[in-house]
Amino acid sequence: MLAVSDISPPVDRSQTARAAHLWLALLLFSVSVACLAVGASGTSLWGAIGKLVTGKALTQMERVVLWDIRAPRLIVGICVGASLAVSGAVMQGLFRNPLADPGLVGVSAGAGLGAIIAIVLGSFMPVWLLTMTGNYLVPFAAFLGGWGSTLILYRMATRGGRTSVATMLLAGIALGALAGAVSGVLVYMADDSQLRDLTFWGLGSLAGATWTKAFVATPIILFALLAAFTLGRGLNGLALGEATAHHIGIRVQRMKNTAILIVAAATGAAVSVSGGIGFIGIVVPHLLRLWTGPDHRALLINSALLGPSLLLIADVISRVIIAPAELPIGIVTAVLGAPVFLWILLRRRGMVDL
Amino acid sequence: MLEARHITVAFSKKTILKSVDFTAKPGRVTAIVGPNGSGKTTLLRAMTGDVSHRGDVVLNGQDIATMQAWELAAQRGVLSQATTLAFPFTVIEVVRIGLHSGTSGDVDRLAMQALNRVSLGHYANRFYQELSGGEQQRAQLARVLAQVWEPVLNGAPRWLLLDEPVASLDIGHQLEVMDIARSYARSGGGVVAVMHDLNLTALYADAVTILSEGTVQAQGTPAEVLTDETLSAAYGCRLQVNKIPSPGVPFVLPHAARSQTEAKVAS
Repeated sequence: MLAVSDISPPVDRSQTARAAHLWLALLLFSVSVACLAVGASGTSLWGAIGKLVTGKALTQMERVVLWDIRAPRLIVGICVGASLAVSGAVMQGLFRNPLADPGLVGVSAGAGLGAIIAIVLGSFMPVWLLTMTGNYLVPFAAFLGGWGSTLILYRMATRGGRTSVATMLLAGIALGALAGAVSGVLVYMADDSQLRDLTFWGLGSLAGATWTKAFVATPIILFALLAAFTLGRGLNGLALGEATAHHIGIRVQRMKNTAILIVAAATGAAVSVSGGIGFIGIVVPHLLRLWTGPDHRALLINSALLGPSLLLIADVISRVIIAPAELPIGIVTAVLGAPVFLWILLRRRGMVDL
Repeated sequence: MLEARHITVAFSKKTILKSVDFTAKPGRVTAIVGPNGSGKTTLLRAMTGDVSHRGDVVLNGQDIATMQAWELAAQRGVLSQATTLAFPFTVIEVVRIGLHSGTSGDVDRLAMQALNRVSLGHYANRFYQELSGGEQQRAQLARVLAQVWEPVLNGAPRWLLLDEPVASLDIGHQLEVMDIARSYARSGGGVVAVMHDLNLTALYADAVTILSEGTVQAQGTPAEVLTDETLSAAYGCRLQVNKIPSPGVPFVLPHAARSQTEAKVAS
């Protein structure tokens, strides 16, 4: 049944998992510095970073690029990468399947639909409402869309206080298709400038990162991440089934509700600032499980560290590969992530044989 | 004490248990036996809080309906019939899942102790999914043992609730697991086990409850309960009970001929 005979017996991995916290934090720090320094704005800013460290004054141009463009982008990138990876890990634990992902159950699609509705139909809104919402309109609509689709999904898949994972996955596929269809209709109604925004939502990008977006998304995502870190033991128990999770003292239904809310909040906030970026949520937890094992107590924290690193690396690639233009980051994560994902599938077919 | 009072369980229209009373005392191995579909597992699952039921289950003097999941987990460990595992955990990681993360050294020592108790210490760092069915079941027992061994503050007896703990084990490991159950009871804990093997039940149980069609047919010591008439009636086939001479333990032999009622059903 399981193709695990090619896996050599590992040593006790709990030490490795704890040591990984440190290594991954170091990786994230180095990638962050590189992310500030490298880019399409004519010159690389390593010199400026050196000045920052030694306390020398920056030129006006260096300050603008570093502070107004790259710093918010870095913060949004870290938040989005962490939410995508942790949302993926939480969803996979919840569904007891390493292929589950917010993208898969329609949460991302619902958030994207919310954003598209706001972009296309926003101009029809009363002026007072537009002035009131301002920059928050699109992020807020995306957040509501992600949350709404999760709630609908949850209502459909839950009977008598228990969630059927199969129904939830299937309903998620249907919801994703529905959101895609409605989005398709809206695309026909969009004008040229809106179409450019819609492309951004479809493929995902950190290019739109501003301090405003960083301030909107960061608190939500931080809160969701901290809440996610409390789910470790519960998700470990759930790996043995709902009955056994209850037997070891997990309040299963409450834990599942919490997990769903965390995923909706983190994904909604992430999609609202960056559009739909794929594969981080599936690839990061997979790689970490191969390296340090599936214990969620370590996996969730390590995902929050490795997710941003991978996303920032993809962002740097997306900025320099066709400079001065830049690719949507979703293309880069797909090009890097999809083959890794297929390779994992081939090597570890037993793991997804649930 | 673990008491179940007037337990009635019905799934849609079918009544599985009809007002069953059941009592188990700490220090003893209490077995629940009966034919397939008699409600053994359902009774156990009602007592673990997994099945909605009418009637009360009282664990160490407290109604389990008023207890939180963690309070229940502190007083009883449950070994289910079949446990599936998502994700490639190693054997030692599976055993640790039931434990709270104290200082990691303590948790590791407790988990290894439990694995050694079921003779799986050498498989600690193997992948759980690589083990055979019987080894997986013993690993699950180790997980439950580690859970009930973990120190807690109150001194109430802690319970092992085992659903067919020897189902897929060879005879040597059947005896090993039943020895573990008995020594756990002798050390002051409580053990309730759903059993299929009547002879193992006779060898290891201090008290036996026979269920048949959702009602209690007999309750008492193995010598009182395991008789020709009771068993033949409960299982619907002719069974003959003899006694091993020296300790006077009953053992059960199937009769070669089928009983008349069963022959009628077959025709």
